[in-house]
Amino acid sequence: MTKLGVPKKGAVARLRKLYNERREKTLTAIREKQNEKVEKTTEAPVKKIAKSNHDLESM
Amino acid sequence: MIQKFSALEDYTKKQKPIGFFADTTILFSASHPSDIFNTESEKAFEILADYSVPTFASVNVRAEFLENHRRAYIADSLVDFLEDNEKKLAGPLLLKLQTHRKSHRKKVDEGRSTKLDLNQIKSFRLALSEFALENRNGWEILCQDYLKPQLTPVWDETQIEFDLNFISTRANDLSPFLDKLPSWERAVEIMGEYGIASADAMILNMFLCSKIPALLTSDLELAACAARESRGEKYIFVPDSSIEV
Repeated sequence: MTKLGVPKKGAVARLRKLYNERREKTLTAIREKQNEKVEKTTEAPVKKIAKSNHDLESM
Repeated sequence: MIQKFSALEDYTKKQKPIGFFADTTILFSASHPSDIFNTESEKAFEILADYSVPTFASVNVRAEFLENHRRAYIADSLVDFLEDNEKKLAGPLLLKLQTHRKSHRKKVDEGRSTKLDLNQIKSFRLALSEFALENRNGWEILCQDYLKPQLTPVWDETQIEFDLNFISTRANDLSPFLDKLPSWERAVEIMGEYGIASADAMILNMFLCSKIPALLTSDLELAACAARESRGEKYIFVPDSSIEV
């Protein structure tokens, strides 16, 4: 007969830790993704359009 | 007979049982930190580890375990979804989620179960499906981003930590831990006699047909049925706080 498994010492404490880590990892990933989107959609700086010879020289 | 977890060590030391049968509720309590019996289940499993006593379960336990986690994680995820999207939401959906957050926090503070029932989940699914953000609706965002990463690993982690042993019931294949093959007819009779859910009736029937002398559960209703059906021949252990007023 194959050897039967038995619960590991500290199992519930480790499951509690895994639960908290999983939750933190999930929420961090979501919030980082949201922040990236906000950065991408932020208005890009307006390019200066030359209106005179002086502007063209300074560009 | 129903016993408290505080009697578990004494029983284990004296009786040297071949194993304990774990039902869904005790495995859920042990794997969900906000469950009211989390600390008590920790003490019980530490005793099993100290005395190297195997824990048995059935495939019905796995299915029901995941269903319980789904209901708990959706409740948590709705609060997280609201926290992350509150400024983008409006109208009845915003109000519904805010009401849920208030009730969820109250349940956590009072040490009550936060699991949603099936009708509540359906109602949130319908409401969130009407909220669109980029190419997905709110329900898809909730499930794909919040629920899935948390739900997917929970069974494997639990099974590894408790090194669970499964009692199989393939036709004509009597497990060495079964006295007789559990029949569907008997499970239905148990459902009828006690009015319990089909998953619970199948789990209980498997335990009753097994050679495992003791059950761990945090469900008093199931404990009472098990005690009555086993006619004093098996021990049913429940958290002390579940029977102490």
